[in-house]
Amino acid sequence: MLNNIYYMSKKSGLTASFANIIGVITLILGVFGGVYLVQKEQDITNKASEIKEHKVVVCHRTGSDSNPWVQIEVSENALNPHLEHGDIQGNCPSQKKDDEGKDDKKDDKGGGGQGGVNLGTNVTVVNQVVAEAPEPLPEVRYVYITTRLDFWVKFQGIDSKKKNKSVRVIFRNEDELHVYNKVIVTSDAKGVYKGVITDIRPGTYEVLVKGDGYLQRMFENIIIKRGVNIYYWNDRELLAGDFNSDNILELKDVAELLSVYNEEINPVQTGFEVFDLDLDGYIEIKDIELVLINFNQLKLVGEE
Amino acid sequence: MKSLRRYYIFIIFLGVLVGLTLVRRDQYMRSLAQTPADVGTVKVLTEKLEGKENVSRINVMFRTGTAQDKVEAISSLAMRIYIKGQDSASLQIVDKGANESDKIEISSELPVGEWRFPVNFVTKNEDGIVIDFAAINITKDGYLSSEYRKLATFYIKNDKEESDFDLTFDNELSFMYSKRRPTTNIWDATK
Repeated sequence: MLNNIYYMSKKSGLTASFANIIGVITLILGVFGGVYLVQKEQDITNKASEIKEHKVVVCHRTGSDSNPWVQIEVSENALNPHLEHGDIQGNCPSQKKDDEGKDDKKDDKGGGGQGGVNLGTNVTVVNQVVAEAPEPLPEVRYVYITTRLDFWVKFQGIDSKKKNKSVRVIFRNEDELHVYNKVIVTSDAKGVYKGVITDIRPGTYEVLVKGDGYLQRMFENIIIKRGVNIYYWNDRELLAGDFNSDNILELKDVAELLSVYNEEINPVQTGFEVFDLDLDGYIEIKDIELVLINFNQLKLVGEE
Repeated sequence: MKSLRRYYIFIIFLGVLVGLTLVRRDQYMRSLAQTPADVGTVKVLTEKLEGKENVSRINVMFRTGTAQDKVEAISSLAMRIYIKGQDSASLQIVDKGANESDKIEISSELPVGEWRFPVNFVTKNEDGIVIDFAAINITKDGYLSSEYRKLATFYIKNDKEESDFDLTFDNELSFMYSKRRPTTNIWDATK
């Protein structure tokens, strides 16, 4: 195009002033070109930063004796590296012996986070990923040397077979606290999920189960013996709405969900799956209504 | 003529540079203007109810910006209100007919079907009255207005007419969240 203008100017013997006019027009075109390019770049940057924004809570192992655990917020993309370093997914769980003053939980910034938790260093964290194990043989002729827990849980809003999910499971008693960060659970036709954990130290525990986007549930007096232990916890479904994993459902969580309820995110995009509670591939009014059922007070703390 | 060609190339280059600078500046200014902090306001209007001198009507008003060009779409808001008096035991939340009420009245000014009010209850303790209230906008675009609109109304009955009452928001539990990401609390508690 530049060559054409140049040759046309030469052929018709244009004056210098006309050449200047062409120059101005070219300048204007250049400005528009610049504007277009920068706006494109800005759009891409905005999109990228939007995806990065979703933050979740982790209980971070500091390595210090005086303050071994601290509850922090990290980008969802940075979650796995944290877990690999022994962090706990979600809020800092309290140890049983510290539970006496639990009434003050409402004042805790993290609902069981750094404010009211004195997690010791005797904590085991297992990033064990266990897919659904095969059913045990009907007549077992061998003795389990180790332990195995088969458990069933239900997520509010899921009533049919859906894809696998993962939960955090904590075993807690007065002396021990064992955290299994990512236990894969698999659904049946009615949306009841089954998970399996092996090699738990035998004992009597309180078990805390938490799913992404759901408040934690506590199940008491869980006795783990050598061999297979079976527990059905699906009659007390996990309640939806804790999107930043601090084990509190409050307006911030509702606002997070509402911020992705728009045309741009649907069908649900990578990084926003936690908001698609019924796992139908869309963030819809149904998902919002589900959370609003539970959001019946300004601050609802999950079981601790 | 070769120099004319160089001149055009130079002009285009210059144009792109000018364009880049202008847009960068524009983006910067826009990001400053759009920072959704401290533009949401909630205020209360108090008046004595006609014919019932010991009952005051409180209208809770809100807006999501201070001007047409400084307004932010919101998705939700929540508030905790404390009402205390010299003699808190004499205070009571009542309805229009002066009967005791455990809820406050939702505004009819907000578009029907676009809002949900999952939290709405009144509790009374020895220190006074606590009102918890949340309003959720369930539209895909959110709600915005730089004009004050009524959010809710409640009535305070004071058995001791001579004593007054104080009304305060709990800043730890009062929020107005932007619709767009990252979600930001835009409630300016100072206004």
